[in-house]
Amino acid sequence: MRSKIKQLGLQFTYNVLSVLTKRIRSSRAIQLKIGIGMALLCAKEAKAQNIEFPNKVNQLDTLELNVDLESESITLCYEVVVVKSRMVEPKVRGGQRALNRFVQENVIYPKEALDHKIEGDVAVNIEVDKEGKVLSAYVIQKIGYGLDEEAVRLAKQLPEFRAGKINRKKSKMNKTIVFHFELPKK
Amino acid sequence: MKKEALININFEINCTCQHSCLYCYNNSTNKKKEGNALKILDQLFKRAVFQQLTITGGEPLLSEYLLECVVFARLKGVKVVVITNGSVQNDKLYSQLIQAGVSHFQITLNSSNSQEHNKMVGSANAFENTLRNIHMILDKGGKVIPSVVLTKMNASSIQSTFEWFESLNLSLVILNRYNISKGKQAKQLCLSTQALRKAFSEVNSFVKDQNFIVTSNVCTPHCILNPNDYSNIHFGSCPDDPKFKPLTVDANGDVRLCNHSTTVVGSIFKDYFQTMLYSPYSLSWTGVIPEFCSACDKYEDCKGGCKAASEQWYNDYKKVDPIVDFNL
Repeated sequence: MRSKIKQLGLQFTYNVLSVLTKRIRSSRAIQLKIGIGMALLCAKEAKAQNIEFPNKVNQLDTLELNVDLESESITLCYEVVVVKSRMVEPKVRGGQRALNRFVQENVIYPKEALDHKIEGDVAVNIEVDKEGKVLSAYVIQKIGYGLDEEAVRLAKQLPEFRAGKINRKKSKMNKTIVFHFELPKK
Repeated sequence: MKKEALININFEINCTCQHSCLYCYNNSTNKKKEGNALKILDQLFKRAVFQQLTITGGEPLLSEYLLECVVFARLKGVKVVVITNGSVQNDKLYSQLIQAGVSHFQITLNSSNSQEHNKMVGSANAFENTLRNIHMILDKGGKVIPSVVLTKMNASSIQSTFEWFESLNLSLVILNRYNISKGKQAKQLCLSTQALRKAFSEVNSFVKDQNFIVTSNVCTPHCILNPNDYSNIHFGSCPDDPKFKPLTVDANGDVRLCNHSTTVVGSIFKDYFQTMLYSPYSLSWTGVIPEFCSACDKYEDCKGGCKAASEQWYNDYKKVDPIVDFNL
């Protein structure tokens, strides 16, 4: 109990010093803040932020140099991010090109968009089940003129996806896809 | 608005650097206020949840805010990585950073040949200082991932460089091809396709039976460098979903889709991630296929290489990576 109160006190002092040192760069206050921060870090292992991810959270682990890279890390452009669980997003069969073709072949270009000569991209977040079927869709980025509703309609008609995987097991997952609308060529 | 769930954020804490690397892509002419670092970080945690904070610059170890930022981020529970040139002489700061829980230092080390390295980074004593600091970090229990930028200047010695990494017990290495930048000495640095493939083949053969992990993270068109030909090297690519891109926040709080891109998609102080990541500009990075790639079956995997390089070189991210033009 006493150590908990002490920790709360340290956290409170750290927060006060954080606000203070944003405005006044006193070297003593900064040193004190860093010292308290270090003490807090030593006293407890920093816990991940307790906020829900749309998909299962990939808890980060300490970097081990001999890890099986395929299963425990994500190689992003410029970065290697090492994670405990490997997440593979659902994929449109044939990729963006197939998606663009699907849109071209199936789009019912809204009259309003045609009248105003609107084209562009609509981002839709979809939920894909273990079998690769689209369960739901909602628009993240709208451009209006009936194209958002059309994107949702198309998303629900998409052919089956390659299902997403968490730690190599097929899982229900969310994915953001981009529908690229181009005015029909005359 | 809800917080955006992201994997990684690159934070350019400053724009000051003591090196003048020939291959540097940072736009150092922009005046940036370093004094906002803590406010930016605070704002980042209000706008997003993320798993890793990668602090870069400029040279982050020259920032008076670095340690404060690391402690702040660690207390929030995120993993912190520092990308540095490794030549700043400040043993106390390195010790404190390790103590605060920096997961690893990604340090540029282009060659085992000191002259090659120093020439590439434009600093006479860089090699000796960096090597000293690597030993010091390892001695104090920190972790180091060396990063090599492969150019005409160091490609011929790449195998001996890897042998040297092995002798230093550095078993995870980032091997990036030179990514073309505007206004820099691109022709002096950019390898021909043949030379690039030769260098990657040498590394691929060398690491085959070794306890080595090599990643090549700069996205490259597969017609130039096909990952299938280098089974022992892991290749990164530009993700379709903007929230998985290497999002970069600079010392003004301006946000870009990646650290190589010059286009600001918004400000951390004014805009929400959802607005920035799914703007027409951001979405068109995925939606538009470069004309050069329109009939290519490799496009789905390579996405035509680095769109930010096209943006820098042609002022048009809708074109294929300029490395293709350099090698036609």
